[in-house]
Amino acid sequence: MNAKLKNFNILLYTGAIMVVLCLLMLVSGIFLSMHYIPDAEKAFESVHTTIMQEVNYGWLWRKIHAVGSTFFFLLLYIHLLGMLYFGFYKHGKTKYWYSGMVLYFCCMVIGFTGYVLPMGQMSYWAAQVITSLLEYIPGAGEDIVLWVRGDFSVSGITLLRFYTLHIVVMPLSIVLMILVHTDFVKWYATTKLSWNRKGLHVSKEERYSKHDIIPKEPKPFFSNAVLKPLLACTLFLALFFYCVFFHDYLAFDALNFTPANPSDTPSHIYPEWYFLWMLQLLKSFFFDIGMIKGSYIGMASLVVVNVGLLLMPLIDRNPRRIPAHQRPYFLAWFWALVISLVGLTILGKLPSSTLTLWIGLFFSTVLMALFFILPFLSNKESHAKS
Amino acid sequence: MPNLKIFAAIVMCVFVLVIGLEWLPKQYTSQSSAVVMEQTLHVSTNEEKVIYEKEMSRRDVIGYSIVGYFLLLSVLLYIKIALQRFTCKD
Repeated sequence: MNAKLKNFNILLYTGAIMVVLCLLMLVSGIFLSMHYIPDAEKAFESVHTTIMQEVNYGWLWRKIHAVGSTFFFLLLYIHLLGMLYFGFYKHGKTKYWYSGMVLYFCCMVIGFTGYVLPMGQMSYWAAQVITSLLEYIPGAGEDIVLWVRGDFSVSGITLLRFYTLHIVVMPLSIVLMILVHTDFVKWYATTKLSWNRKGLHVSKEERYSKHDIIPKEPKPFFSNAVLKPLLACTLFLALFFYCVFFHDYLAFDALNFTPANPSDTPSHIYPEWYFLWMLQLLKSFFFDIGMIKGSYIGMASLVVVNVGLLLMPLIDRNPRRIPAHQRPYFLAWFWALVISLVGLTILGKLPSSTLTLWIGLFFSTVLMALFFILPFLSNKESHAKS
Repeated sequence: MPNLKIFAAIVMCVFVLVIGLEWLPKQYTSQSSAVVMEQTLHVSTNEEKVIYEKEMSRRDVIGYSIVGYFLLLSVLLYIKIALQRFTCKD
């Protein structure tokens, strides 16, 4: 029993669970879109009255969708950090890393647009704040903000744009990227079909007879390779539905139960938990350095961290693909990254005070510095090994 | 790092996050604003209260049934894996 439990590596199954969760989100999303009205005046009512009270099991679909997004991002971070830990971005794995990072950015967009749709007080103000961040793009910032919103502030036009992005553009992009990320086409071509030089399909028996190969005995379909991820999925679904029915407050914000009011700014504006570390990173540089405004430094640090994560295969100079516990310097780097991310996420939810600002500045500086020191650190590590 | 250590690290990080995101902000703000009310049903009269309680208990039953179903499925899958290994060893 003990030995079997030790073999059960949760990191191996996060991808499979995320695919199941994606399907669940897709189905619940379809049911929700049947009753949701993408209009600034009617959106809140359509969610809180029509879906939550009037439609049969509408409350269940909404809770599945909301709790699902929380769990999806939790798994996404675990998956991403797990791959980082095991160095699954080197030697033949770079394709998966880059496609995974594109998938991660697509999920960020779909998560943000989805948060705006209920048009609650926090949804509205989070959209207002996050879209205004585009103002920091040098040169054309204000024009871009106007182009994204379609108005001078978040309004019905913005809502309709976000709705289109949320239910059409982003789901299609995500499905496409999942196919790329899982190497679906290659898998399908190698296991299901094979083609001769003229482009005609060749059956398995023909292929084997041509090369005088005796085909191996087929393995049972329900082998451990299928059963173990299935077990991980069922265990996850039990936990997931427990949270859907009994701890749904994890996915809802109290302030979002009141309709959006453009004339009443909340004292503390924050997005969903999975964006909190980014928000805190932007807020952390609360002072100007010379001619450069603090907000610009915050924006630059956000770009550095995200681009740094994307370019991990290039930044990490150690050519060997080994797990972090066999690389002492990288292990320290990895845990510094995790602690900074967790610290910034928690600080992002707390109201601003002198203490939180200084702690935030510390974590932000550490997080940004990590991506600058990694090339030197990994270089030193590879030289020490050789 | 053994798998159990990885699992323990993930659980610890999630625990810290839940405490940091749910419990800690409540220490800064007043309790009344932080409590999420169940808004799926309006409650004003006694009759509506009875309907509300009935509906809530019905939802609880659905919840326990679904969770129970997946737990049972997990147990059956685990037994299937264990049996498959047992027959392989033979």
